[in-house]
Amino acid sequence: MALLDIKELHATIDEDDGAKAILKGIDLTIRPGEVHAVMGPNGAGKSTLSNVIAGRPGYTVTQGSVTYDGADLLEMEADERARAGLFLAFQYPVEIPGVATATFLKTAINARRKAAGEPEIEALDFLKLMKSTSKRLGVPEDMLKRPVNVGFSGGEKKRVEVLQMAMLEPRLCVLDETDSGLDIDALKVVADGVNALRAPDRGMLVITHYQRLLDYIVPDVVHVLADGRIVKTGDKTLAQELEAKGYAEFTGAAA
Amino acid sequence: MSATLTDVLPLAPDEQALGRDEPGWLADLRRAGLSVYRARGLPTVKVEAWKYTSLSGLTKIPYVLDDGGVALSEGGDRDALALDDAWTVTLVNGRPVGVPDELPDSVRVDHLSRLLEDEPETLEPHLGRIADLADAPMGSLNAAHMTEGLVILVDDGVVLDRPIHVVSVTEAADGARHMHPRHFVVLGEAADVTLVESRVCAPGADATLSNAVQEIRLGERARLRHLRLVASGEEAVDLDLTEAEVGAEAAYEAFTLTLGGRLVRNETRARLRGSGAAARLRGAYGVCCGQHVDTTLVVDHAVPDTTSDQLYKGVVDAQGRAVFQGKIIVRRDAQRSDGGQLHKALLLAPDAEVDTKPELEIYADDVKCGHGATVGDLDRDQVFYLMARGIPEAEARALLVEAFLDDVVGAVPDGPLRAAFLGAVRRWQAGRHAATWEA
Ligand SMILES: Nc1ncnc2c1ncn2[C@@H]1O[C@H](COP(=O)(O)OP(=O)(O)OP(=O)(O)O)[C@@H](O)[C@H]1O
Ligand SMILES: [Mg+2]
Repeated sequence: MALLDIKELHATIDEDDGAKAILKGIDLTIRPGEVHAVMGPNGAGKSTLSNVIAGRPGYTVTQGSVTYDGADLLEMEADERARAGLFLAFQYPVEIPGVATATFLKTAINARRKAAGEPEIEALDFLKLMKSTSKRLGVPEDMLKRPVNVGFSGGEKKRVEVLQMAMLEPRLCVLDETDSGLDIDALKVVADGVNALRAPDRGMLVITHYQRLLDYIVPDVVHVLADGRIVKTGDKTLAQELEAKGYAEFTGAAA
Repeated sequence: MSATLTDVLPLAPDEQALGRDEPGWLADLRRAGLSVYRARGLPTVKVEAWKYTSLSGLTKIPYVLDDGGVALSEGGDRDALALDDAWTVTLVNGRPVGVPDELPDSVRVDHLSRLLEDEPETLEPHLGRIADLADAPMGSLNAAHMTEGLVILVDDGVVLDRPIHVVSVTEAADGARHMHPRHFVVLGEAADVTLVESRVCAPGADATLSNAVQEIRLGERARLRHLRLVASGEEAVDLDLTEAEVGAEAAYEAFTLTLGGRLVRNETRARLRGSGAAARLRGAYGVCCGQHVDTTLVVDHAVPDTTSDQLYKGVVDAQGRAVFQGKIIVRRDAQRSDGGQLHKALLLAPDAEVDTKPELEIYADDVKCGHGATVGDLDRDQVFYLMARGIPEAEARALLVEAFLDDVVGAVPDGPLRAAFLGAVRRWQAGRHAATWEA
């Protein structure tokens, strides 16, 4: 069974003066173990797709379906989706003053456990997990005492997104431009972190503008998303092609 | 006019009996109080200082004056803050029950009634001399009625290493009662005390009207941390007027957390009477379900070189109403006064309401004074971010509410005290969610 099955997905963004169509018929299937990359020009609808998958308010699905592990994802609240194993690494992680990152992580882990009928994580186990994961991802432990994303640099925010992902062990990872803002060394560390999560039962949707990330996280499938549609699908060589030629061919076709 | 007078004066004492067998100064004080109350009646929104809080509804409730016959009931968790390491004294309907033992000799904690009876001269310099009640109808009514309360007198130079905890319990009585406790805290020079006060309600206690006045006087270089939890009963009307007179280089640091009561008014007035005096008035409130919580602050910079700051944050949920009135007065020669005020409210439901009234009365020219106020909703991107990590919406919102209150609750000293206040906030949040889900 597919892990994620998107069929004919149309979605609009709610605006004050009506709705604006952004996704105009997306078909995408991710099977367990697969890594799919989505590339495409600015404004094509990549973040919209990831937000609709994650259940962010402000969007309306007007047509089509999204099935996750056999269940109708669109019927689930954002928190249920997350507890069911979905993880979105945000393009723009949100700052939350007053909530320490460590508290936030623990609350998230326990929310999952509670829903699964498991006891809360032992304080010591949590500390160990946080310590080892932050070490692996090059996140200074001090940072986790600070409020969520507040005062973190762009690259630090992205690292912490991947740290969260590693600690929550999702089944479907959606990474929205996790590489943007990372320096060259950080890109490698973060990519290693993502690769460590590659597993036969886990799927990934990696949104990026750059071939470089895909040198580290080698995708099984590459899609080009332009003007709300997937206009081309290929293997990893498609990414190299795009790097060389740009999107002119697709934006022209879409216009 | 006379018809209205009887209407609005159901709480007044019998004038004939007023001040009988008492020293002249005390009898005069009572008569002056009664005449102010008579002239003004129960405050309504027509009075500027009560612009958003009317007490006219109180005339509908047949309150009877509390005669002290109510005992502390068994069982139940009265001590909402559960402070282990404190000198605790319990009040029932405003009347002290015993006093803590093992207090150092330099600290006197006593019953107002005992002092009025046996040594009124001890109180004469303080009683009615700290709080200026001429413009306060309810405070004046308190002056006419008061017979009981707690008196705390601390000698010069005494530094207490544990807090004094006043647990003020409302107990059930036959029918609705009104009570008018009067409390005193007088710190000598360089004394340093933490006073914690929790106003709580026994389960099933009837509707009560508590109309308290606290008079606080801080000698030179004294410091009082005054931490309060107001968790009054669901039907309780809880009015408190606290006036603190702050001497040179002394500091009055208040933190008031209001979470319960039908109608609560916490009026705090700080008069900075000596150079270098400081007042920090902080607080937080959580209001919902038909509650009305009024915070009224007045800081009076009476002399040069004094500082004050007011920081209040509140959360208002469905059918709650909050009022914040903050005034800063800078007298003509109070040069180099530094006063700040900030009030932030979070409205969690469309039918939540908050009214904010900042007032600056500045007569000096070399001053630094500012105020700010914001009213907002929870940030929906923040709620989504937490939910996207699997945290249920109610829990996400509770976490954000706690985060919103984080800096102001940070005014409570770190350690068991802060943990106790934070615990009260969390219980309030949990109870509120339970209530929402039931509805
Ligand atoms: N809240 C919003 N209100 C109105 N329009 C929006 C809103 N959010 C996104 N859009 C529009 O929707 C379109 C798709 O945006 P989206 O963020 O999905 O693009 P993207 O492919 O992720 O682009 P990028 O590569 O720049 O991140 C854009 O035209 C954008 O301007
Ligand atoms: Mg985007």
